[in-house]
Amino acid sequence: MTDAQLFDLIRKDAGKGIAAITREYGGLVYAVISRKLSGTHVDKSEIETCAADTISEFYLDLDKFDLNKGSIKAWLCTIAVHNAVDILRRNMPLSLDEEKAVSEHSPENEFEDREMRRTVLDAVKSLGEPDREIILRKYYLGESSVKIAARLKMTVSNVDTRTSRAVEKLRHDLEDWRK
Amino acid sequence: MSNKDFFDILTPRELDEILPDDFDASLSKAALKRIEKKALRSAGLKAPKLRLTVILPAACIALAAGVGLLALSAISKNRIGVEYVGSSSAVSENSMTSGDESIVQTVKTKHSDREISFIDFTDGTTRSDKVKCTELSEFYTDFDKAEELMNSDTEPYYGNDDTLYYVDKGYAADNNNVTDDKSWNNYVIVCKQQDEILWTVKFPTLGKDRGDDELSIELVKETDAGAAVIGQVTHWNEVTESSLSHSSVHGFVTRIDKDGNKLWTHNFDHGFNDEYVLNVVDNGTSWTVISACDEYNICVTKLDLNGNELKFAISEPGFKILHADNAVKLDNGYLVQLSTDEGTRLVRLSDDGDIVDVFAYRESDGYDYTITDIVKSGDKIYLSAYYEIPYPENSVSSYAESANQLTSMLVESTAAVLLICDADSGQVTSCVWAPAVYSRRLEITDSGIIWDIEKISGVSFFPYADSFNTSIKCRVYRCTFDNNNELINCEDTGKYNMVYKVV
Repeated sequence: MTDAQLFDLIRKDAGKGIAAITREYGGLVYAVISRKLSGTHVDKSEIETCAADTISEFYLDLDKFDLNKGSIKAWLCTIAVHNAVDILRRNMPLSLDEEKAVSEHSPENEFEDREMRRTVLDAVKSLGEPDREIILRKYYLGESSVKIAARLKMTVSNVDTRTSRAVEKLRHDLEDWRK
Repeated sequence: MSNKDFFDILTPRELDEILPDDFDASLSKAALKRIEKKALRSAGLKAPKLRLTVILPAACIALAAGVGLLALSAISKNRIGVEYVGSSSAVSENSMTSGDESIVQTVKTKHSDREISFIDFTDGTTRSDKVKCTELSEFYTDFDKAEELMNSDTEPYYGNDDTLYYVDKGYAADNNNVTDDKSWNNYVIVCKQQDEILWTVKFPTLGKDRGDDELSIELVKETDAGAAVIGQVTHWNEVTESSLSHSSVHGFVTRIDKDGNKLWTHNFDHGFNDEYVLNVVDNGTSWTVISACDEYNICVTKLDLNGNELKFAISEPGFKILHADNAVKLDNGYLVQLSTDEGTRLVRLSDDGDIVDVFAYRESDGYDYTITDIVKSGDKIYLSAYYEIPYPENSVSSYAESANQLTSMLVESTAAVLLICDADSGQVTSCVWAPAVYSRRLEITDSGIIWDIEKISGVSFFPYADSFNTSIKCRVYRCTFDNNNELINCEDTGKYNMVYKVV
């Protein structure tokens, strides 16, 4: 189902629309939240609730979302990260870096932020496939090498080697920014 | 910023630049269904219809009585009795006694037709039947005081009132109550009769030397030949390039005789990656073991009382199997209650272990029954079940300013039902319905039915991360019915049980 069809469906029949979005992107949203909350004592049911809240928030604020500014998948991922960070904030103080990563950017910093984001984007895009997907699965969804290997039909050691090389390249490309 | 936070600063449009088109992550159907339900509730799209269902019968009783006057009289500082002033011919009264004989409450019953759906997954049909039902009025107690709830005993147990089996992890039952650090990794089965410990049996984990092995005890079932202990051992396979395997789980059954001697352990390995043992049916001279092989197949293994395998069969019911909380012997096979990723399913198996039927019962408005006990008696099957009606999550956070408010919500959204079914066809022939309680154990005697139901007594909750972890303490009442399902009495057993849920 395309984004336009999903948008249309959720407007016409909210129940069916939410069901379709959950089917389509529920796993992705869950994985993003799960990765963000890894290392905390938040349990699976709370992650599920957070994923559900992400989807319902998308529906309740439907008018705010502009498909020209991002796909449903990307909007959901962004909301999911914010919701997960809210949980982190409630339960433990965030590091400065984490605050920086999720805070609303001030106009003064907007230029710098945009540059920063562009640097990250270019660096990730320059990895090429399948390294880009491996890195996204590893660090955005928190998937294990075993799972990635099974999905991409590669060996685990191949995934690990590619991850290691890609991270090294990212480190190099983002060196200035990371400082 | 760590590697995993790289992407969190990107806008949706920027994310789209790097996310592949088919970028997804798999999640089980059951988890997706839970998320969907929660999302619908969170979006306010599923209203708590229950309240009407539960409240209306009480209102109808009062109206039918032509009085509409409900007098609540305080009987003790933390218990309240209910009296309906006036009566109708359709309504009868029965006494309910508590541990304190001076406390007598009145439970009203009435007869009604309830519509119960029978879903046959074997041929894909659904049938709704109007069933004669005995309905109990809600019996009120003030929610117990916090300190009383804290002091009450809620040890989980298996077995019946005569013989109880407790499963404890991490404690050696030496001298009844001594914690032994050396046995921290042990499971201990404790057999009690009338508060006296008869025996204890340890199940040591393989922990210290093999930290990647894990043992769990799932169920202890009393049989004529002693206790059947069901558990699983997890072995984590080494990950290699050729075997992208995960853990492998193998169930076991151990027989303990009535003196507490561990006689034998049968390990299950029929060549599947995982083989979870779920339940045991006592055939008298043999045990039939129900297991889930690789989660999607039902495996039925018949063991003699020395642990030797007599027969093995495998069938695929068409869904993912999570638990088999109950299993009973039928005249020509078995009835197994399975929790699956699609809800509760009843599976009828032949003597040879082949699937004959897969079916489920539901409230007519679609709420699934959770079955807590099954008893076969004569040509009837008795199912003890309950259902919960979901309510919007937002209402929980706005309602639940106090434990008592949350308790009230739960009371309104829970009901138990006792289904009496024809053992051959599965058709429900009559039922008993009770609001505001959970169902539990069932016993059929010559003189009638003994049904344990659990009145929600109090709730503690932890508002956290957009969800509530609730611990629901329930006071156990034992209700006795005659062979026509007429209530004789309900007795307060003084015992408590815990129900845990996240809302």
